[in-house]
Amino acid sequence: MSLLCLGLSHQSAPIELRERVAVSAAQLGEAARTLKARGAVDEAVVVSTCNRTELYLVGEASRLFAAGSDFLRLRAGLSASADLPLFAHLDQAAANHLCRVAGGLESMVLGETEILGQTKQAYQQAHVAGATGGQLNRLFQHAFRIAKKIRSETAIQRGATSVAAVAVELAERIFGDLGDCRTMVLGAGDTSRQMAKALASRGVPSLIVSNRNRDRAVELAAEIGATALPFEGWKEELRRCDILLAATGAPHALIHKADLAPVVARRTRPLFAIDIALPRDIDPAVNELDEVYLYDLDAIEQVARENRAQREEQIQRCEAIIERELEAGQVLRARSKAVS
Amino acid sequence: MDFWLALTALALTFASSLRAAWQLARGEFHRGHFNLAALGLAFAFLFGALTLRGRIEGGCPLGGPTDLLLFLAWGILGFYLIAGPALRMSLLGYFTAPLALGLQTVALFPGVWQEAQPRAARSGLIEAHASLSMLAYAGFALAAVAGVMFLLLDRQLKRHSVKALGWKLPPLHHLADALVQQLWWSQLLLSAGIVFGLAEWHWQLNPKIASAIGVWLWFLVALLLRWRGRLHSRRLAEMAVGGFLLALGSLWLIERTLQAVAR
Repeated sequence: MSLLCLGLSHQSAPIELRERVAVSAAQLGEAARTLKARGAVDEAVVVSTCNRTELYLVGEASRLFAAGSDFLRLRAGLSASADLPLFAHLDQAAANHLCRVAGGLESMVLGETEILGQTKQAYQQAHVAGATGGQLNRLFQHAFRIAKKIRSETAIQRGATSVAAVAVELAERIFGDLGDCRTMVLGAGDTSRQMAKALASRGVPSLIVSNRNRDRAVELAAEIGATALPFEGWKEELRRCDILLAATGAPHALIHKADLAPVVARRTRPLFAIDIALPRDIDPAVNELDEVYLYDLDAIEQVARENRAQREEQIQRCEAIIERELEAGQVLRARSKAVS
Repeated sequence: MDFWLALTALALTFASSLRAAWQLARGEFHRGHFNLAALGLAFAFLFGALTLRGRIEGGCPLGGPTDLLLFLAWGILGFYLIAGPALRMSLLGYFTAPLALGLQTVALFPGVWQEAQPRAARSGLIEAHASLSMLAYAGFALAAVAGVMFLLLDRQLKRHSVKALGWKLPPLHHLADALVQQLWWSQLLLSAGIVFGLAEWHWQLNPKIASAIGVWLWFLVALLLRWRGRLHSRRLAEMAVGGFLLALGSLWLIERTLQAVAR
């Protein structure tokens, strides 16, 4: 009996092909059962996300590859002789690959955590569909434990890497729970909309939108469940806000150190100012004020870059955990091959 | 025996500090109870050492530099064990352990270490003054630790370069709140200590009580300014660190003066 991992991912196949092969979340169990129904496969799990479709198959080694690749070709609508940019791992290498996938090491955004939930869902559906057996049950449970270990013992998932997520994480570094934070959004364009939505989705309950064009402010406020404020009143209202998100289309800076100094002088709460406008809305000298933390696009990108670098530094530690835990758990003979 | 108990406490605090330094250097922070357990045991061993010394001295073990340093380290660990979980201050142990380690190391250093000696019985008021003041200083020490944590995170956020440590420290606003709470509790203890001291010395000033009042005034100003909304958290953190150094310096100065007078 052998274990084969066969599939294609964002590293090996273009999106046009990946979307043809992809299996919807609701059909993962059915797909695994279909594979098992083919004589060569004793156990099967199908993992399919926007970045990868992978088959984990247990059976007789000589027949597994053909069964799996036929299945994928069929989904891609290709003939039996057509080439697919598949990768394949056998036994220990397949187990190792599953742990890397579940741990986020193979993800497009290194260390992302969503993949663990997706892998669990894939396994759960295959299990319910009766497509798994002793080998895959043990392997997947073991892989989930290792993925959790990777999460808890390394910094592979630490630090956001997108502008909106970095801004939200920085706000959490300053205030902790964002539930009692008031946020003012200056500007009502697309950038403001995206950032305001990201903040709202992370539990910022109190949002105020102010824009020169009042109708657009009202429109955005209605869309994100915020309050619209006349543009003339934003300076006064800022005294009561914790987060300022500036993204207007003004051709010059709107907020200067001298304007903000009296506002923050009597505060004991910090002010987090996010300036994502180009040209910038906030004079960089504002960052010199005590308890004002100003981040423009470059500053946010710097944090994102450092986060990515920190994640990459963790890869070796994650690999060591996988190797150690697989050895401690169940040893499968290592054999691996790449297939094009 | 008290020496060996204190040495065991030192070894435990050293182990905790070493682990903290190693993890800080590697940028990895495991959730676990090692620090809590090591520092909890160190607290227990220090309590044993101080109890033995107190029995020999016939009163509260605050009779010289060794006693003061051990008592201060014990108080800091005690506050850590209470405040850490109560204020949900992650990584507090990482910063508390080196401070307690420094105090214990100096206390056990050859030339500083003094065997406990029986001494003349002191009044209850003096005992209360000394013990409450030292506990207050331990509280200020923990506030200073929170202050250092605040300043570290503030610096990283201001420079737009949040390192692994910065992502693990408690949020800035929580640190500021914890700092204020810790300062108020410590100020309350020091106020009581000063009242007992003044009562003992018939409301007359002496170097000990004057230095305690100096420290008390420093923190009173900081807390009142904060209460009135006129002191930003960064300034408060700086004042907490400065105030603790002031308290430690005044203790050292008084001990030296008293030793010189005794000679």
